[in-house]
Amino acid sequence: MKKIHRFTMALALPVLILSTTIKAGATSAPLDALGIMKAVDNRKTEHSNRADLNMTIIDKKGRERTRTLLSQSIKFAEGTKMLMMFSAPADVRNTGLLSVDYDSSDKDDDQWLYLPSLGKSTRIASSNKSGAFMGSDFSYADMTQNDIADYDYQILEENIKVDGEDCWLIESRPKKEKLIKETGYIKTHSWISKNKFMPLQVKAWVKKGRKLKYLKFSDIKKHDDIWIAHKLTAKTVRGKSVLSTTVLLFDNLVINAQDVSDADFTQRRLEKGI
Amino acid sequence: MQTNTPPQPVHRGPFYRWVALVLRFRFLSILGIALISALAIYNIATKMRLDNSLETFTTEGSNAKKVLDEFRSEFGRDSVFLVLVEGDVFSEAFLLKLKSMHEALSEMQVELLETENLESDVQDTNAGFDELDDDNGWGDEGGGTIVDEIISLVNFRQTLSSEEGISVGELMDPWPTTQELPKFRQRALADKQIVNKFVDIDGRHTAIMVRTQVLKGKDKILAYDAVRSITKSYQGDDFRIGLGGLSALNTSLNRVMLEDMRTLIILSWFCMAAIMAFLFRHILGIVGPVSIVLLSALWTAGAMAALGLPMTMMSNMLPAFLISVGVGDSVHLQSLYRDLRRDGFKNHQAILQAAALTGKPIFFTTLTTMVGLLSFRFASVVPIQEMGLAGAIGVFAAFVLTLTLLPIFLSLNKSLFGMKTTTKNDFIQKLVVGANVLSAGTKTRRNTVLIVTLLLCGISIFGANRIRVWHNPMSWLPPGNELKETFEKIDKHLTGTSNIQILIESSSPEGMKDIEIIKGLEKLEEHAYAYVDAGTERRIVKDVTSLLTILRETNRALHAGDEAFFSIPQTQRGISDTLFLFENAGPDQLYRMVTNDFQKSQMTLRLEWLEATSYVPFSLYIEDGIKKFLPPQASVKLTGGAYLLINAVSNLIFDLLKSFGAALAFITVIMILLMGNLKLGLISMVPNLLPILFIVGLMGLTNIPIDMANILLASIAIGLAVDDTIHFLYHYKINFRASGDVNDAILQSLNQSGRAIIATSLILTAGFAVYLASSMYHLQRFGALIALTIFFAVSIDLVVGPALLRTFYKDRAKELPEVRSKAA
Repeated sequence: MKKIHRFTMALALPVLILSTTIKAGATSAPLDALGIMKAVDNRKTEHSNRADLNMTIIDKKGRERTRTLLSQSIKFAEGTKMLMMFSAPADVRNTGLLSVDYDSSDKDDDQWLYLPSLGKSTRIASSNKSGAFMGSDFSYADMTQNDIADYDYQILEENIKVDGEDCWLIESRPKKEKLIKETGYIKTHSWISKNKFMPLQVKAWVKKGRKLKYLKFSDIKKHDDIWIAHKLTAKTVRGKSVLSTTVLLFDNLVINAQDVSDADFTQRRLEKGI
Repeated sequence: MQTNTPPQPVHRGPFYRWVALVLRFRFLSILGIALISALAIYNIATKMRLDNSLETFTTEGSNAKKVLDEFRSEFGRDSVFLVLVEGDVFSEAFLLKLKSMHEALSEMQVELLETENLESDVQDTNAGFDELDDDNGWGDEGGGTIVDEIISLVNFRQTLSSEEGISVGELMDPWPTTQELPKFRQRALADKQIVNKFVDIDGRHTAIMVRTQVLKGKDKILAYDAVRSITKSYQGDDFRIGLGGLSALNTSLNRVMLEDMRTLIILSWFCMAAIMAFLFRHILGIVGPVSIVLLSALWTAGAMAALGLPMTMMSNMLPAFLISVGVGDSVHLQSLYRDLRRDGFKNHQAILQAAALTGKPIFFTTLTTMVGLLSFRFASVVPIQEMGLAGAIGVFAAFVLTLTLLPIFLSLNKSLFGMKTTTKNDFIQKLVVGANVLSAGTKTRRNTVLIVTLLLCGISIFGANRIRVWHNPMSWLPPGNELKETFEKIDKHLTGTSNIQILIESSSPEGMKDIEIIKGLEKLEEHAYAYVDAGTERRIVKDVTSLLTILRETNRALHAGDEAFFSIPQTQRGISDTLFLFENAGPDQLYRMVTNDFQKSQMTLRLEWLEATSYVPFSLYIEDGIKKFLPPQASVKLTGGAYLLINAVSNLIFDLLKSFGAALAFITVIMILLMGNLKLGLISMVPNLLPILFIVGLMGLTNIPIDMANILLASIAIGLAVDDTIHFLYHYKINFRASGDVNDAILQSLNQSGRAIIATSLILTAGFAVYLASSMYHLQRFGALIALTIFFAVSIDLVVGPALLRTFYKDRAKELPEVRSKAA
């Protein structure tokens, strides 16, 4: 069975890794929930990409902290490699992260962190996938893939609009308790565009602390026939209070760039910095 | 000579007219009382809240409170449950049970009733998607635990280093085999982050820390019950569980308080009923006063709920207090009513006449008691202020009900109630005669009384000088109380149960990464650990958590787990990198230590639980350390449980003097106005003040300290002591004006008011003695001290008062006979 991203492939960085394309005839026949999710999953994706990423984390008091980084990813036979290097602020400049995400769930993902003060990269292994990525509202689990067969899907609304676009509203529930523990989510609701076959927004129920996570995909543009959101907003909410917000902006996005190759995803490249 | 025509009322006035109106519109009056009572019940049911959190002892608007609010809005509350488990921690059976309980607690589910939007000062209330108007938030989704964080040996974060790199995992993952257990024990006990925090060095005590989301009102109780119910199911001889932590403390205290209040109300109620039965020997004589005091307690609780005043450890003494104080009004009115009936007054006229004659002294005694209670508005601690306000409302309610409901009850009297004379030779009468003997007679006897009084004053002043402030709310709980024992065990074997929190703000964002500030914090931490408490001769800082904790743990992990690197990185970039790594692994923990913009941070000092004043030198020591070690770019503020207590107790003596001074000033003015005579007004203050001086002296001599509970004593006592003086001197004034004979006026006044004075004093003494049945030590002590003060007050009123009058007043010519007949 094919794998699908948590948040029904909607989360931040994976959008860069696996951006969506419209499949001809996908909307011609009535689809059930699983069918829609398979259609979303079953698409052409770019081989590689590169972008300047601007990540702003806003706390409950509205204080902002912005980090900019260079991000690039490439697909390989067993999965996806990703390299991120911070350019600002000055105290984290050249700090970098290299990750290798294997499609097979049998194999643990690899992650190396480069801290300039140590002068060498260090491999990091963490069993806690529900932890936040870089202190943001996105978790590591959001960035890794999951098997489509592990979830039950249900169409909640056949016709619902988001930003004027026709969408399906689909609920995904993990079939096994283990998956809830691993990802932290009890269930998710995804608003899938009928036109773009990509999610426009996602709401996720976080088990720990009864929080909700809301994601919004905006500034969606087409690159080589692939729709890509250039702005992602994630809000962590409890009750009616926003606890924290992360805004990701993608600039200078290039897909399938000739100069992005396997050689760019090594520890040596990581240690070289920007 | 007795005639066949019944006597007619000779006194009229506002109270006469009021009662006449009440009796004319009897049903309307009852309806009014019923409506107010229904409103009170509604308010209690819908709005009443309990609050025994430590911050209730802070002063609203004070600097300490502002810092606490700022601290909480940045780093959240420090309220956690600490589940202490005792047994052979490193045995396989124990660990498996611990794991199972840990998992059950981490899954804890509670259907929340009141918690919706507690994270205040948020940036945006339009949660969710802006355009999603009908988003119902969490909705009716099951699951989702209220537990934000749970830490124990089972999941303690372990950052390990190997040749392959760093791995962030849990202490017991993978679960150790039976053979691996000794090695696991060794590893756990060698970890500075674990030992004496989550397990003691002997491996006999361990703790699970459960942090829930911030909860409101009843949800706190639900969470407490849920934790309790889970832990209870694991309880066993080899797995002894105690529930501690601030979350447990507050809820558990609320429970104890409610149970206590119930006991005290029932006992006071029966006590009153018994005394009323003894005094009046008629069902109507019992039903009226008892209903009045219960209703006044109900109205007070209703008013508290409506005004948003919570029930606290201070206000739980109110119901029993109101029952004993409120009944005094009824006794005076009802006693006179009975005498008038005996003198041949018809029922209706006896009620009106009794109201007309007792209305004024009852009004003034109500006023003085209210003044005593309202003087707490001058205290700086909020629960004390609120208790004073609520008490004053209650006393006023009792006054209103005495002049409304009691006449209605008495109007139902169709029997001979009040016509009997059986009470004339009871022991109360013997006490009155005894007082007559002591205070009357020769100059020598009078001088003896005054000299003995002066001697007692001298001893009391000596004692009062020895009195000290000592405040420990934990000592209020009875020995053997589970919460108290758990706190003591946690203190002894694991981390401290009290804390001081230091809020550090740098001059610019990212400033908390400044190596100068970090090194300053390191020195401050070392300074704190070195402190030795003079009283216990022990180091009281059990643990310090701050950014340093994170830096050390992460730095060690970055250096292959080498203990030599359990230290602060030595370069600025090293600090930034280490914090970056940690932020990537555990931002939740990081943001409990530092704000998102790295401008503010906190340091929590876990302290052994001591009585409040012992923390005063420690806080000065810390303030000194802050000045010495932190660079100018860091500004620092202190808060935390221990610091709040320090603030509250440091104001205690000043509060006492302020509230007592205010009560004294008001009461003196009232007495002068009531007596219509400066000399008599000032003389009247001597028997009012002496009981207070004696009791304070006694406290000093017997080593009973002043704390947050008995600070109320002096002001309440003067408000009560003055009642006897008012009744006695009011009669003396009228009698002396009529006869001009001091001796005669005193004897007559004792005959007229002595009985009621002794009766009400007995009622008050019995009423406060009921507090001895409380399980809370502060209430027991408070009750005993007030009962003793009332005993002093009545003795002084009936013995010293007359002696003073004989010293300062001389016989003069009799006034016209009609004035005398009016006084009679």
